[in-house]
Amino acid sequence: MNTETLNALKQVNSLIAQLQDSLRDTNLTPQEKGLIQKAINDQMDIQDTLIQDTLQAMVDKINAANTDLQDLITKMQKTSDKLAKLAAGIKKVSDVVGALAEITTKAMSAGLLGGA
Amino acid sequence: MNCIRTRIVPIVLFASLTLSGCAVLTDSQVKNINAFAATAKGYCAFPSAVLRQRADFHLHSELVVASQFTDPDAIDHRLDAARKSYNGSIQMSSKFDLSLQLIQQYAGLLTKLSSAQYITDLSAPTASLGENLSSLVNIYNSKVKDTLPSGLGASISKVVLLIGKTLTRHKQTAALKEFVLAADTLVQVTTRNLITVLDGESFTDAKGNTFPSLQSLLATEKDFFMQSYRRVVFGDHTRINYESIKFYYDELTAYDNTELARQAIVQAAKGLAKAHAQLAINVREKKDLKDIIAQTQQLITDVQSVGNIFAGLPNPIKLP
Repeated sequence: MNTETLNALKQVNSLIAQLQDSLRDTNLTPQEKGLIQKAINDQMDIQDTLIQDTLQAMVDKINAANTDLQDLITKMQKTSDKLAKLAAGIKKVSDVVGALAEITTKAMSAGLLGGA
Repeated sequence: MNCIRTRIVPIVLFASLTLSGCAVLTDSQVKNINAFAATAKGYCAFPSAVLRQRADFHLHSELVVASQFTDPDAIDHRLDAARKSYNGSIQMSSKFDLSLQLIQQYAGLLTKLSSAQYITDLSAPTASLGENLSSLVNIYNSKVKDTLPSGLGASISKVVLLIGKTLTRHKQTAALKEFVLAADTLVQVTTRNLITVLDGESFTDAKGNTFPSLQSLLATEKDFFMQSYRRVVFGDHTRINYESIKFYYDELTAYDNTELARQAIVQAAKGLAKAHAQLAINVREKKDLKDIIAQTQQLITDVQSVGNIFAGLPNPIKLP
């Protein structure tokens, strides 16, 4: 069902306006006043519902792509972690080679390598 | 000498050029990424503020309506409904910001992925590697006749850094291109939906139902407030006084300010979409030729300096 909420809202507002005008009649009996006030309340409740439905539709539309955005963000974070691990891996290799060079240097200084 | 020079230098050059080739981010691309990220990070025009204000307006309208009632039950009913409606609206208002907050998170990660931090981290370990290798070279030289170039240690560590940097940059670039192009669709759809909901007369949901936009809703609610207040308050001469007039004036001013805020939010969303579209174009396009030449020249210079050192090596390197 295709609903035109804006038109519905305007119709409700127009009806409330008419009822408010009626309520200003000083010749109304208490019972009549009570009925008009109830009618205004009913229309205001409909107004509230129309507005809440509208706000919900707004939220749903704005957030339609959120799941995909969140997935992308998760993927990017994983990539960032991988890049950090890559740098750490390269660091490890250079640390190992560096340590090896240090050990060899000390061994050669002590005459343990390379003969006399 | 020939063995090392003819093998190591070409391998290093080939590896580096293959890895970097056309995949390195240019300065202008990094600049665009940072420009977009700054736009997104500084984005503070969140719709929730307007929605909270709207909730306040509606509450005041409900109270104006109730103020005409004489029946206590009717008054209670209206106040209960008004409270429920207000609470519901306030709760929903924060959901209007979710998608923009996700875009901000994405922008933050974009900055992180495009930064030099991964490459900078490599410089420290290879510096110590260079020192250790240099010590080894010095010791070796003290024990042999055919000495190695004194800068050999530093050059080897430079090669490690160069290859490491190039490999990392290649992966960074590939990732950034993938993410920016994938994100562009989402950013454009999200900002378009936001603008459609906030601006214009109406929007349609996924099922084809038509709803008023926020612009229409605010205008309708302002009109309702004005008509109701004039009828209920100004229509009763006993209720016309400074306070009632001031309240009316303040409320209308607040409506106008809220409308201006709504317009600013729409403009900010359009700006965000434009910035990201530009970024996507920049990433997709062929790079500026000047940038390519400059980067390739630097790469060749780096590798050549390493090559020159290797050129001076004795062949083979004899054990002391």
